Amino acid sequence: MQRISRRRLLASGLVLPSSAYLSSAGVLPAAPLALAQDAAEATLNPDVTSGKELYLLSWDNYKATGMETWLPDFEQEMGGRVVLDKVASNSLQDRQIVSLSGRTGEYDLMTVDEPYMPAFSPYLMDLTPLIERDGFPVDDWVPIMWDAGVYEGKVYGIPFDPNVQILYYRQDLLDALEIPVPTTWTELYDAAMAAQDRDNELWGMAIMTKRDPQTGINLWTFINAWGNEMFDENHQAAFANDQGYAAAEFFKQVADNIAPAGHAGYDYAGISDAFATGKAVFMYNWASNTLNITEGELSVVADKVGFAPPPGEERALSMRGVWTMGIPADAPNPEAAWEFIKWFTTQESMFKYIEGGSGKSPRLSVLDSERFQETSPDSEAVAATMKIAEERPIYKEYEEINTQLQIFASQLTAGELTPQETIDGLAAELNAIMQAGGYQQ
Amino acid sequence: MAGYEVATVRPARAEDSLLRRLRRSRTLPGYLFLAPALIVTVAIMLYPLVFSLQTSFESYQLARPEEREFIGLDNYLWTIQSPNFLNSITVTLVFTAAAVTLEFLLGLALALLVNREFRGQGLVRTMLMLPLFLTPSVVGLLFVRLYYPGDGLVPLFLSLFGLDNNFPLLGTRATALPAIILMDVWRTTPFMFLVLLAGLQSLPQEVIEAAQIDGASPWQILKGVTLPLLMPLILVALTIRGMDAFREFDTFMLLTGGGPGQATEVISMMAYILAFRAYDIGRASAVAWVILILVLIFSVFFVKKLRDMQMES
Amino acid sequence: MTTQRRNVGAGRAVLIAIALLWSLFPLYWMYSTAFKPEALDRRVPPVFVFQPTFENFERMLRATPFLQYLKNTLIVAGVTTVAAVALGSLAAYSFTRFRYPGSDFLPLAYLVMRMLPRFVLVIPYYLLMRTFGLLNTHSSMILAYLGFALPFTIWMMIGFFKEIPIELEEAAMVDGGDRLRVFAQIVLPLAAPGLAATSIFAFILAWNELLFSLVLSGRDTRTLAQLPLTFSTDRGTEWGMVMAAGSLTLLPVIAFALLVQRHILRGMTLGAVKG
Repeated sequence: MQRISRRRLLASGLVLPSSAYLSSAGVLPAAPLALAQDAAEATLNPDVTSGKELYLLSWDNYKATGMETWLPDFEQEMGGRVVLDKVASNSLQDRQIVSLSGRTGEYDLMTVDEPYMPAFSPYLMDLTPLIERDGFPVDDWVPIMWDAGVYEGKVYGIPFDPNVQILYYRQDLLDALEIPVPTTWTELYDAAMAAQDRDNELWGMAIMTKRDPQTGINLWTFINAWGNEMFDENHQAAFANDQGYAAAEFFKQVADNIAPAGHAGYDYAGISDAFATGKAVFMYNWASNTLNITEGELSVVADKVGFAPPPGEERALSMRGVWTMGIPADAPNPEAAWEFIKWFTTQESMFKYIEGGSGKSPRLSVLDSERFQETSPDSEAVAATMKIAEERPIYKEYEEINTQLQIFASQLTAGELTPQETIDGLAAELNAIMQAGGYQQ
Repeated sequence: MAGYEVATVRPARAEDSLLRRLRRSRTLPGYLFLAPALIVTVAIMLYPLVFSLQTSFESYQLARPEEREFIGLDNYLWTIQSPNFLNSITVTLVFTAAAVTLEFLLGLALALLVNREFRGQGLVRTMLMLPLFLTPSVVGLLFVRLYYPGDGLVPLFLSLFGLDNNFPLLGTRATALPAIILMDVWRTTPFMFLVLLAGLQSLPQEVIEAAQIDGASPWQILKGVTLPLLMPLILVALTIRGMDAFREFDTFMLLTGGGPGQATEVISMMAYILAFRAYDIGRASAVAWVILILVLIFSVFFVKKLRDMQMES
Repeated sequence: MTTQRRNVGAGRAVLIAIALLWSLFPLYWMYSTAFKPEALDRRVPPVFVFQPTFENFERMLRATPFLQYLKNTLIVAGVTTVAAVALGSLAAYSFTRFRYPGSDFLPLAYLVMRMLPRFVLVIPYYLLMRTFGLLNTHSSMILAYLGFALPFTIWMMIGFFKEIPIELEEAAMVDGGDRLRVFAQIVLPLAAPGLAATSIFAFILAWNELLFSLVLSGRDTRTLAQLPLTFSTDRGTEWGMVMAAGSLTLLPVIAFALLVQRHILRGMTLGAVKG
């Protein structure tokens, strides 16, 4: 089944990750798929880490799983110990601001999701001098990925795990109906309508709509796919127009007609659960969910799933979600923490990280390798998606924007607001945030 | 006692005099016994409150720590004009009123049910009061499971009556707040039950028996005799439960996170989000102080009432 | 007449049975899910009869920092209890045995403090604990919990002290005992059952607290009330483990509640109701 999808992708010319990444970078020439080459690495200095205990605050998800598998190697090679403090998804950012602004010195290292970088930057160490001092191999990072750790010209985090949303589909169900893999949202909607069987709890698309960050991201995704940006260059909300209304209208249709009947009560894990247990034809979700589907204990669709880049509408794109590793300004062992980052982002460590969980890597030499291709069945789709990944607006107010998105999106899908009211109301709130933040005059 | 003090005025050494006077005085030991608690209270209640009064007049955002400045009443003006604040207050009051009323009625019914002597009364009372003490965050998670669409027990139970078992009880405006109220009723009805049961058991039996002999129906006795006698107690119970419901946070956080939209965003959650997600310490402090003032006014009235009652009894 | 009474009794029995079912079923479901094999958990219709297993408990203890959180909770709740009861009973004794400027007003002030919504204090606590370098320490939580435990203990102990006949103390005073010794040797032993009830009450309060813990605790000091927040991950929610953690968290609370049920009313109503 997967071979079919591979051929389709090949035909669409999106398959070679190397060309995908490199052309997305825009400046580098395309290179052929190759075995992992020995990329340049910064010199490691085990003397600094020897005997040190480093505390790392991580999201309790695949990242922690991926790290746990090879952290013992760090102890062996570098002589230091890394203690993971794992915090659940919904409270991670709350804990981070409390700890960072509290200057508690609890952590030497922190995983930071890129949109929070501006808000956290006053409390993170500027890594630029260390990068220059140690000849950190910046050139091996996909440039748009590297940017995720940069704010106002300073590097506050080293990108280690780029995530994108991809389309998961049930190859067997589509084949039975001879429906091709959809490339636009409208096609997806029609395919879902045709393939679902709502009376028997087979839903068209696993998606959630309760007040949750993922629900806001869903609305954002549709707004982008219908051709709009969130903000224009004057920091004005730029989506209150006919396409914006159409995008919101589409989300409402999805919720009403192809989402699970209980979509407004699903939590984030519920989406992946529903798809893995064979209750949905499609799922649009972060690629980090793949292992739940292909290797999860409860999964019944491991051999029936296909992966594809996100559908487009006016345009095809995916939101970039790069996680970076930063050092709090009050870290007790900043030098050792920096050594850890260098070690952690070496090519070999990155492979181990990817193989241990469902993470990816922002390093060209990793992405270009066959070893990476073999790590996960979704590699091709992910690689193709990264080509069309776009960054989110860089504001200290990200969490406020995020909150408004969740509020309006959940009101839209609950039928409390019309698509037009949703879009206009959201735009007004976002403009208010931009005004309060001093971005608009 | 006073005589002792006079008698000890002429000791040989001044130290001794102080020590003795301390021992014999009726006022000083009172303060000494109180002092530790009072010092702690000033340090951890009064001082923090005054401190937050100061931040409520500042523009202070955690994401812009270097730009902290005094801005007068701006945060308060923002608060009272904010639709979010109005919404949160409304949601909180609706939740409080509905939950407390239901708990009172149900608690009264249970208390009347269990009031008469029967074998196993103590055990029944114990089992009925259990939910009251459970860790709220754990209860929250338990009810997330019970309400989950598809395979949660509550939607499955409702599907016996023809409803869709996939109905998202926590996901629609019409049902989210009622679902949380139902959880709160489960968890805290025992409070009303225990208070009212104690009240019922302390009522003078003669009055009720006299009413029975006069041929009054149970309903008439309840309305005409029992409830009026219990009224002061009922007021206390309603107030205490009401104030607790007013600050509920844990279960909302776990069940809905404030959604859908802001349908269940209670005031404690609004303040939390403002401080730790919008990073706006100044505005969050102002919101807290507006609430504080409202609660203070209310509780001063309540305390006066309570004191009058205690003096009567 | 007798038959009628029996009929009423039967009707009442049914109602009581319904009330008990309502009150205990969610708890039963939590414990039953905790002992249920994971594979049976999400079945529709739900599975009620199964071979119980400790699988969920074992996995939960391995996968979550339950024991560390338990240790923190015991420390924080334990110290809070001791401090609140010690300070609270001294203050309560002062309020019931002495008259001085403030002896009428202060107990009422504590009553008002009991009414304050806790979120009002969260921000200043966070900022102050930061200033004093107390974030991520047990002390910060103990201090914060003490703030709301104290009004409870003071008012519960006022009730208990009022019941102790003052003549006993006066007799001891005449014999030449000083105040503190009278308090320690005569009053406290008499108030022992009340002290125990008050302690347990304060302990449960601290055990259950989430909001302050969320903001003041850190890497090394998180408490059990936070554990429910750690189960929403992208691996899916493992309800067997959730319920295993929940049922262990509730165990001591249930045990304590059973122990102090006679005095619980006084705690809930600040002495307004004796129970």
